[in-house]
Amino acid sequence: MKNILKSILGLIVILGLHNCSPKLQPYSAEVNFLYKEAQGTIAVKSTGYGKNQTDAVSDAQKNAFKVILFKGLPGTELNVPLIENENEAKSKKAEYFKKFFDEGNYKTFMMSSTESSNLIKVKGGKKISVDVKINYNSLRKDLEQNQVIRKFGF
Amino acid sequence: MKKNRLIIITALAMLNSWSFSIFAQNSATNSGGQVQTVQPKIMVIPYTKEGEDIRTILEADVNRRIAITKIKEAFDSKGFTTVDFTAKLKAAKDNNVFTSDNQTDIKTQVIQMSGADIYVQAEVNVQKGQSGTSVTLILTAYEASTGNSLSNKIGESGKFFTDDIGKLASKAVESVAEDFLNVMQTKFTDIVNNGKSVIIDISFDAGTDKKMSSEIGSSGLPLSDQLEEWMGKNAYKNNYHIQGTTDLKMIFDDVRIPLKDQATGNNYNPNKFALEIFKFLKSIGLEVKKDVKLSTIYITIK
Repeated sequence: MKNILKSILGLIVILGLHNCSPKLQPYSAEVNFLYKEAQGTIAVKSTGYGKNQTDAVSDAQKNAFKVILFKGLPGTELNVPLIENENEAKSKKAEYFKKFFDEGNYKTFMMSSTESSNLIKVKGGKKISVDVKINYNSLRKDLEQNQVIRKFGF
Repeated sequence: MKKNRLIIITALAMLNSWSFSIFAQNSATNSGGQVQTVQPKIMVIPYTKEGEDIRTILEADVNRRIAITKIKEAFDSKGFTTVDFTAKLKAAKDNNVFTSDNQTDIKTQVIQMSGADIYVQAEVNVQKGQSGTSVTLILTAYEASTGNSLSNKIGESGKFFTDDIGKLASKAVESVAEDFLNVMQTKFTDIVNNGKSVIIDISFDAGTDKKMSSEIGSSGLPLSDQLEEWMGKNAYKNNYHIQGTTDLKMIFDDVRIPLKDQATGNNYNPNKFALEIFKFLKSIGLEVKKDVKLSTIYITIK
């Protein structure tokens, strides 16, 4: 009887640990066009989530880049995403994206970042809106140089 | 006897080395196996209505020239060099290329002469009203050989109280240039992945008694069926479309060929594909003439 109880307990612990394993989280598409000041730049309002303010701001900045890179922003010059096939690019250029998002390379294409809302408490964490201005011309050049995308033409 | 044999061997060795040297790469141009993809030639041209002379239009209208220059600038910003329409027009004028043939207008003649694969047409419309002046720009990119549309966008300058139409034209271009080029790039990606489109026009010489229904070669199948079977095997990814077949003509209006030779990795072009068709028709005992004009292959069976 004791053994059965131990086994059940063990199973619960294993299942619990399994649920804690990292999962591919879909990113938020709460990114909206704000304005375009100069050719090759774009300003967007992006929403991010996290445990604290730093995490939420960083999440908002990354979301802005993810939408421009992989989804495109309707009604803007970046209607078509910079990268056509997200899964293919991520699997072929895993190292590039690791450096870009995890090691903060994306910040080199960020011209400004201003928090545009207070930190709001939501279920499971905190939420914030950030206005991010991106130099997408140099971002595109960087993608071309690292062969993530083709140069214009064949 | 021995001397003669030596002469023959030397002559053969010389012939052998000569035949190799004909197709061997020149050391001055040897790239060490590196292959640079041949890029399409793109030309930006102004839109003209029927009967309008493109030369006078362009010379008289600075705003159209501004719009064209701004579009070319957008290509340049992507590291892409376009063919200059005005330079080609001048060269054509200097070389007396223009004929009095009314069937082909000057625009078409310049496009043909320039060898452009793609041309971008820009139409500039100025609207003046009580609430201000605005410019609307219609941009269209076509594949010169097939007429396939590659990108279409309408740009608006917005209304301003100004007479500076050139500035408004610039604003109209800026509003859509990026999006326009992005759409073009997605079409280019399709070409890279699925091949370039060529037209194949197969017809008969006036003096021949052969027809598309003639049973040719050892298989004894009608020629049109043999051609379709061959096309099915040789079109890139089996992607081809027949516009129509009559007893005297067969037109494939969209046959995809790869940008790169799948075996060697070298650049591939319609001329090479035309040679393959030529070889096939020869192999079934036909006398053939081939012509290639941009992306259209003309095959005449004698």
